[in-house]
Amino acid sequence: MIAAKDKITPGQLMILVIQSQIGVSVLFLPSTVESIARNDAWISVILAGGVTLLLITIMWALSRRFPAMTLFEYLPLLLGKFLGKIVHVIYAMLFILACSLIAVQFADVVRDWVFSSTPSWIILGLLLVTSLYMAQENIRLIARFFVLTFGVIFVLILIAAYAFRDADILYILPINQAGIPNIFKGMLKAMTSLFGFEILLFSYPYVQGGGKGILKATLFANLFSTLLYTFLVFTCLIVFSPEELKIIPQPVLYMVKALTFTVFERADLYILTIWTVVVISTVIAYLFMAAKSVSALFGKKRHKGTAPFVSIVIFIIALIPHNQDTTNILQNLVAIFASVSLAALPLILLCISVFLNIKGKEQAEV
Amino acid sequence: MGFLGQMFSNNRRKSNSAAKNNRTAPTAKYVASSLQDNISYVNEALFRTADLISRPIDYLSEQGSLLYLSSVCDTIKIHQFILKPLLGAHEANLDRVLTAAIVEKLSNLEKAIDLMLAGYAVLFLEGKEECYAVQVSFINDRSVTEPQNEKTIQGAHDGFIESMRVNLQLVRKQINSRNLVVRRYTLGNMTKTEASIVYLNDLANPELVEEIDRRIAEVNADNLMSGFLLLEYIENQSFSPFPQILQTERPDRVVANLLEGRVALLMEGSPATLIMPVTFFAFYQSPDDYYSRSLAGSFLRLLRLFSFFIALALPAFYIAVVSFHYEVIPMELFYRIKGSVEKIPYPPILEALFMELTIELLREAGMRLPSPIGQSIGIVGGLVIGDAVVRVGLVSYPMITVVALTAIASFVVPSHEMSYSVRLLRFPVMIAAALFGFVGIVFALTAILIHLCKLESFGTPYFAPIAPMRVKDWKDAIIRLPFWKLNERPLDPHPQKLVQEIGAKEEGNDDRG
Repeated sequence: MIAAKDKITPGQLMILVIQSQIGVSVLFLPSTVESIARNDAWISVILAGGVTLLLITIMWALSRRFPAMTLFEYLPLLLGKFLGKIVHVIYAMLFILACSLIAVQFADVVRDWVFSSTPSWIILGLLLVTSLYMAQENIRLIARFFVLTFGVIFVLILIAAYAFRDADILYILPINQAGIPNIFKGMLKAMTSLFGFEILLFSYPYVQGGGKGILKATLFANLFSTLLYTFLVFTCLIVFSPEELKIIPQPVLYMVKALTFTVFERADLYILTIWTVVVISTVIAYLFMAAKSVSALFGKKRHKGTAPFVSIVIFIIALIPHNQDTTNILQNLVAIFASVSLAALPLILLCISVFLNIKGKEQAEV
Repeated sequence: MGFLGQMFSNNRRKSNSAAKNNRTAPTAKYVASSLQDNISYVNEALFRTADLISRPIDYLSEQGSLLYLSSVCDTIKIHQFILKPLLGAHEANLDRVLTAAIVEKLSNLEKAIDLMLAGYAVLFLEGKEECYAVQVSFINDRSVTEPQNEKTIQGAHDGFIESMRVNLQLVRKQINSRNLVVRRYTLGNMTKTEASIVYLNDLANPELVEEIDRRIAEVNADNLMSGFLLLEYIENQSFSPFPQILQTERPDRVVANLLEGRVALLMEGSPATLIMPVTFFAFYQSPDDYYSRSLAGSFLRLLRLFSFFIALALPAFYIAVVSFHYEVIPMELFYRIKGSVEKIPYPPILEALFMELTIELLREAGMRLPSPIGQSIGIVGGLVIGDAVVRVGLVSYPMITVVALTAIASFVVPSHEMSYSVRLLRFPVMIAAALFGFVGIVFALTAILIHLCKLESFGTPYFAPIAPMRVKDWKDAIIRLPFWKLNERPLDPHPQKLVQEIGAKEEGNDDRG
């Protein structure tokens, strides 16, 4: 049973989900989606938000049947001991790989933009040690920290909005130039940046109030993230011409680099600084989930002792990719794991739970 | 009835801790009927200490002797409260003769000896198996003056002194409520220092009071003679750079905190009162905020919070800019800064460390010296060294500006301990900036923020009302709105009553004139 003082409010849950969703892809998303969906990329992002909404609802419906348990506590009930362990391992792999991917992408950007000759293990080490310091705590303290750093996202929006000075709305016309198949392909690409809502599986029993409030908070979070991504993609689309977008990998940074404010120059450096905070939050969320899953795999209740080992594993995995190709392999691996464990598995688990009528006990106190 | 129960449980706890502290004390020894036996026993028990005075007395033709320690007793009081009534007495009942406020009738000789140490004179009479202990302790308090380090421009100018009795009186004088409770402790196995916690019974959270009580009772050390010693025993994390207990010498500050449901700890012999639990923002509040107008108070508070960031990050920011991110500076400024930085042979971090250390040295030297010389040290340091060091070419002008600004910003903090922690934390942030530029600063500041989020003081979050976010409480933590806007107390100490003021002006009924 979770004591009332260890619980988080639905508002905190909302920010928890937002901070886990918004991460490295703030910088990458416009160019990755644009490469497929051309000037309709912003539609892809909105569609991706719609699909995520569906996934969240499934996940919520599953969690609601076990209101006092986290995912790994009810996995064996639904799948039996052996199958449950396999699925458990898949989830643990997803979180570890996803965390490594974020770390790799972060190190790449820092290498490209700030420190071209600093070895990446130093940057990775800094990132993981800082995140570990927070991730080994309980979800309540993490939520507090996320609420605190939530404000920087608005600074990000403000700086990006300044770029509208150089915008040309005609760049997004004509709509549906890329064709519907490409928009859907772009949507799949955009989906990966909205991952992070799976923290719901870990936080559900810790949230005050009933199931409806939780769904509302998570969906609001998803709406916010989708709108933020759409805004960024849209801004990049109208600021850069399609030819320009092809050659630049991080359009947001290039966009703000050109801006000059009278008090300070090189807004891209400030954006990078803010983005670092955003990335740290995401890494904290994934490190927390990875440590929770691994410690549950070994039957431990607390994840504080496991977290350092998990971050060492993530560190080692993150050191392996040396060029864009290996990073892409890691990216595809994460995409496969994610589509299995975030789309397929929750649906299957929900079906099993509904048809075999397996339910967790209601919470005694809400 | 509840209050009575409180008193009893209070006593029980006290006797428990007293039993624990006195575990080395010998078994009870009773007052003998022979006067000489008693005197020699006391003499042996105190190892024939030189300040033990034994004055023979004839009282209604009975032989007696008055024993006291001359170092802790007031001879005038002895004369007035004991000798004078005894010599002029015609009555046999001593209870009526001794006119002092505190007189105890004892049969336990060991207890009598303990009381002698605390400033009692003990009267033994031949043939009686009882003795009288009269409180005649020598009181040598300094007068109540404004504390040196917490001066205000407006408002009350009294401050705590080294006597707990006077300090408690200063608090009671301002809170005329029967809910003001004082719990007494005797701390330190050897020093036997008197201490007391003070709280408002209808406000302070009982769990909090119990927790503080438990932590104080758990301390088992020989020397607990000042609040500073006790503080490290009862605070949550001694290795955190941030102070978790507020020390103040101002009665108005203590009273204001008591009225928010916090607990104050006073100790005999130290003017500093400990207030717990406190949040980070308590260290940035000054009584001045409440004595000036709301707008001015809010401005000053924001200024102080801003100074926290300057003191923490400004040198680091400058180092990062000149070592890595020259492009951030606007063009016109760039050439000037480049011109003066280029002539310096050392990396900016060495410049900064050199200057910061110089300032710390000056500060320390100025503090140790008597004040007239201290001022001249400041002038020598500030003007002569500051100018010469640039001419020699060790440090650049922009660096001097930055370091000076930082030093001033760290003086703004109203609390000394917080000022120390900011000064200490500056160095890791500077080193991170020198190694990794802006990214390094972000990581260092994030680590500090995470630490602040994790830190708790007596079970209440230290960084409230920012983490956990409670915008309602910003009204009195980050800015200061007019008092009639502060309807509720801050939530962080979980007071029993949240409402502290009923909206007087809010409902538009302020236009009575």
